Amino acid sequence: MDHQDRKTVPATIFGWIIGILWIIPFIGIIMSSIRPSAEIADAGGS
Amino acid sequence: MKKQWRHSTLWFIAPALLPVILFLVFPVISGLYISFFDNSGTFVGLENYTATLTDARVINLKQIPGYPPYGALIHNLVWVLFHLPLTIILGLGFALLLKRTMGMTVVRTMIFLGMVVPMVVGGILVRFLFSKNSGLIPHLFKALDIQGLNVNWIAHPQTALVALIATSVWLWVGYAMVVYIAGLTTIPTVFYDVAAIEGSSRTQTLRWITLPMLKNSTGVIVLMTIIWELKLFDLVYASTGGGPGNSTNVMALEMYLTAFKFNDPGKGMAIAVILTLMTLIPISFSVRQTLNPQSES
Repeated sequence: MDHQDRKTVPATIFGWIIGILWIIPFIGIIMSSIRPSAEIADAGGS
Repeated sequence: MKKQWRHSTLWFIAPALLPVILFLVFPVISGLYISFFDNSGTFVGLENYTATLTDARVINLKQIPGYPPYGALIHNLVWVLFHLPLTIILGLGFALLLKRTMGMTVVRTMIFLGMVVPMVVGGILVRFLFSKNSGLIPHLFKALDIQGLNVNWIAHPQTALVALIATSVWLWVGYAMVVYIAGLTTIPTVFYDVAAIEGSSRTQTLRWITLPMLKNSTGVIVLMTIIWELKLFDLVYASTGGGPGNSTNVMALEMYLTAFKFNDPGKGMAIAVILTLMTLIPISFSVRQTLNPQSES
């Protein structure tokens, strides 16, 4: 493993973690769209 | 000859000029005119403006340093105060990080996705994300055993504005990242080569090469972000509608509510004029910079 790889691997892992965290709410939209409305009707409630 | 040139020029610009006059200049002047009249059509001078600026819904300094509502105008300023630095720091951080990430195009697209989503959808997402029953964020704090934040964020004045600002950052940071990525590609690699030969650390390289060379990109991001924060409407309207207890209200929403819900178009237009003047401040800096690019350097 050369010097460049040692920098790239952690950056890649960290970058992908952030990317996946960033789209979690969008995944939530997709998952909500395939579930019955009664299950998600409480969203926004107290 | 000169007169003929002017005549033909007018005909050429007329197709573009007419819609601008009809749909932009006329409504602006009309709005300004309405702002000097009350509901019965009586001229009241600056009364709508003084009523707006003394209204607790617009400026409510008594609540500071407590929790919101601080008033719509102060909420806009709070938005700028927190949203702007977070956008710049995260945008620059992501741009620098993703420079050396494998599969960076995919990750950039993931982060930029927020910009593609309509703000109304963003507003609905806030309701889902911060709901106590089904929301990710309260469940996260529950897992961390922080029960004080395991609540329905948008139902409490203490947390609603924070939830909206956080969502706004999440949606908007993709723009800052893309502008910074474009800016980073314009920096000649020879600067970094020289820095490496001179034994410069990564922090020094960032401080003395990257950041100064990204000055123009930062300027664009600051301007666009401030304008976006000041004219913010749909995110708040779709998520909280300005509540609870007016604690997330912003100027654009207050303008809408005053003009169309409280049926006071004069005061609504006064709020619109104040909001326009606020937005013109950063725009004037941008126009000056565009017209005279040497003035900043």
